[in-house]
Amino acid sequence: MNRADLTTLAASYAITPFDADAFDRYLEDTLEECARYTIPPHVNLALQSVTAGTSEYTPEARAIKILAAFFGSKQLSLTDIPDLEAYNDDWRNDTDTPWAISFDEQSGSDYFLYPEPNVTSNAFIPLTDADPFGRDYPANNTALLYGDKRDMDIHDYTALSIVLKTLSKEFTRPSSHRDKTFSDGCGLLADLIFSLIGVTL
Amino acid sequence: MSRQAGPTTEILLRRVWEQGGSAIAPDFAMQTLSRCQRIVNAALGRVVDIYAFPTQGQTTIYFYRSIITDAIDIISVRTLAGRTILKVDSLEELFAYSPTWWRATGARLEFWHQIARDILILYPAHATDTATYNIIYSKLTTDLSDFAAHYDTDMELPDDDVDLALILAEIILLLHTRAYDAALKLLEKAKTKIAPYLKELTK
Repeated sequence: MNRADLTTLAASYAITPFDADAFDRYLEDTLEECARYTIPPHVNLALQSVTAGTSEYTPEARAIKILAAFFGSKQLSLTDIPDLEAYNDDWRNDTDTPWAISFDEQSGSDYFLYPEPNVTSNAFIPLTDADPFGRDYPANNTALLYGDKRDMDIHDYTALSIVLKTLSKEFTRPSSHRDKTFSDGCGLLADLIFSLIGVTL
Repeated sequence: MSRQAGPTTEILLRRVWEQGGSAIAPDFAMQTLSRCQRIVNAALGRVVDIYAFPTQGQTTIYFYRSIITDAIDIISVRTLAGRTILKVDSLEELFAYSPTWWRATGARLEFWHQIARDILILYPAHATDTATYNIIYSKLTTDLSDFAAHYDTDMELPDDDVDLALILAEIILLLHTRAYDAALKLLEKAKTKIAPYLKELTK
């Protein structure tokens, strides 16, 4: 299912009148919120190239919550600034192959690698049947596993919860068609279905 | 004996009507029941299938739904000779076992892990050659979209679990038809009904 399918599905389950434009705005919020869940409904893995001498990076916009990161052959350790300071007073000037990732002092899903990379990534060549995380994995790249805010390929069994959660928002906002009971019912049912299928806050 | 989709949809329509919901098109009711059947199978993994899954050299990470297009969850991974591969429960476990797990190669598959419903990890990868493993997975049930065409189609869930799908569908349709009191009462009942399933899921 894609995002347009979700709006169509919502229109079929909503009470009338239904404001598709408002729904779509709230859908954006719901998709982002779901991608932040401890166990998000959708995940993705993507390459991110690095530049020698640059430690801070911004992942693509759909990467809402980074669950794990890899560099070269290693999974990076999650660290924070107090740990790094305990490790080395002068950690900000360390350069080498990164082995840790941190979100401290960063906004959103931005992150920094430690130590600062001393190499620049090889480019991934997207040939037909190329396998970026297998035999064609380009050297010196970061790979990010993240809770995915996606517009396409939304799981069929997740779609209904996303729609109900969004309907709950749309029908609770101040409007001519506000309906708190419908909104509460949709919200409760969405949470019930999410807990049933193992998507957790 | 399995229940059929048509008569089960008629039960749904009757229940909604009796609880004060307005009339609903049978196609719409069946589509709702079909969605709920898929949700229940995503939760409980009752309807399963098996797939001979081809692996690639040097690859531990697979976007498995692009290969098994009707897969929901991976339930078990086995070699063709029947050896069951151990499942690890978290990425943290893999990391604790080896920080280099994701590019590791070896002759013998040791663990598997699933992340959300998108990624399958098979550790370690074969160095160069490809191999095939039997994967047992819970599958997307048939999309029941047309009341007349699917009237005699069997519900794929076992009878006991069809009841759960029926309750979920009933709540949705009661909300849709503004029969709020009945919907909210049924929601409370659903929480009680679902509690043992949640325990089952966390085993």
